[in-house]
Amino acid sequence: MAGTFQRNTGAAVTLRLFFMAGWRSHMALFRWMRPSAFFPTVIGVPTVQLVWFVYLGNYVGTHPVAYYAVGNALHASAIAGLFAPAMSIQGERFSGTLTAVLATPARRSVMFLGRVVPAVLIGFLTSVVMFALAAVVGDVELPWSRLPQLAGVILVTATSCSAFGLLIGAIGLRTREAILMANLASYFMLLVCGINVSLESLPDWLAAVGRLMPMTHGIQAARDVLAGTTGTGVLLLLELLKTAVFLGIALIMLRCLEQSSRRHAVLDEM
Amino acid sequence: MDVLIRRVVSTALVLSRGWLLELRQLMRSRLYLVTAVILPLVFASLAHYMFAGSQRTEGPLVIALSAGLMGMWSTTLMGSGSAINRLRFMQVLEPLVACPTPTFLFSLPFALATASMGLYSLGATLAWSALFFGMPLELASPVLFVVAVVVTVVSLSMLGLLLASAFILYPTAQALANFFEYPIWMLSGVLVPVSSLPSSVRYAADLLAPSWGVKAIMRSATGESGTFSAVLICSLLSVLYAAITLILLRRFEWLARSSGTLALQ
Repeated sequence: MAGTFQRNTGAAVTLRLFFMAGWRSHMALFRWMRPSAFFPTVIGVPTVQLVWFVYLGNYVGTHPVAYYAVGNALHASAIAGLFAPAMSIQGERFSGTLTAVLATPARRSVMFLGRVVPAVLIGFLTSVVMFALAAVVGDVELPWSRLPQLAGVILVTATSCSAFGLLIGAIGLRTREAILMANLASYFMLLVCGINVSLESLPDWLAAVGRLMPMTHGIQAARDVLAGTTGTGVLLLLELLKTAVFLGIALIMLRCLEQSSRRHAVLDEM
Repeated sequence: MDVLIRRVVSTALVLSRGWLLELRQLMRSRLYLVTAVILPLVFASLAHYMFAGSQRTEGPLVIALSAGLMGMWSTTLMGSGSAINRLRFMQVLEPLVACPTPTFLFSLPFALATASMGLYSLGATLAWSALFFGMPLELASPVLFVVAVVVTVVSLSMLGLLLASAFILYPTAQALANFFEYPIWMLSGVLVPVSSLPSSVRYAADLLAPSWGVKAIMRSATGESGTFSAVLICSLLSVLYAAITLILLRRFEWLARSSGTLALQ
């Protein structure tokens, strides 16, 4: 039974499963053991995206260039956050190890939430690098006094995106297209989350969808922090609330889809 | 003469059957279809909303065409990037490489099929823009427009194939496919004219077949002169890409076979 392993062992084993197994599976699934494969993906794609939207935003001239730079710097955390947890389940299936992983007595919540942690960390670090780039190419001012607050905003946003990524990953238990869904979600976020288009410019229904997506409140909070506006706490609380909801739904879906897959013997189905 | 005719017919058969097979495979994936249907609409909406309130003079037609071309390139890149790895995953890459048909010939239909899916992207973007963003569906020269679109589709598939040739040797190179999305948009002049790029970068844009394809499509749609020359340069560059891909595929195939890594994922 899932979870018996933790009940019969100490907290050290649970912690090891959460951190070590999560990190190792994350690196192995992406074949990121070599830095030559890791850096172009994690840093390269967000870099070209940020440069493109800053360039486009500068041409369009609807908002200051910093508006696009901040939005896309924060969206960098979504790239790691969405794809890594989505891949954490689909990748097991492609590697032929999903059945073995789900046959273990490890608690599912510990095992899968542990796989979210590296995505949060990598997403956070990517966004930090992108903010440094945004300061160079996007006229973003980063005052020292506001950096701790900004770091908090990035961390909360990266967590929210990773939780949403786990929700997409759960669907990977039954389909082989979780990565495509992550791709679609990433592009959709560019439209509705206030990254390149303000929510006020969108139709009401689309803006409402945007507010339910991860990162929308995080981006607003980041812009407020950099502008020196107060009241970012409420925005971060809303982002954390969405995170909790995404994680809750993801864990329920994982449980239901695992049971259903076992019942119909389709765990290994490609 | 008979031998030549037989070769041409067999090549045409390989290409058409491969193209049809890949299209069928792509259509079997419901989520790929959903992505291919929705992504162009997201690009079109993003482009229209970004330009709303801008002082720039680009009309809705130019914005819609740009968004459609963005979708075309994304679809081609996504499809071409995954085609070789899909063959590897299904464990048919080794038998295909071992068969007498050249690797280039069995890879080409995959790129053409994904680029054909990209045609939908352009059509969907135009329809979406006409329905929801008030774009007038008037093309200055419909015949030239169709010619320009076909040449651009071929140029995109050739570029996709050129990049995908590296996937024979490096299975992890597919992760890099997304990297090329934004630079190609930028160098092709979609949404922002190439003339606004720094002069050194403009030379790189001139070597890119899709950037001439974009020029040809825009000119034929708006009635500007110079469509023929753009179509011609785009076609010549596509032939050049095909020649380079042929050489690279042979080299990469030999390296992968000699190191025994062809089937490794």
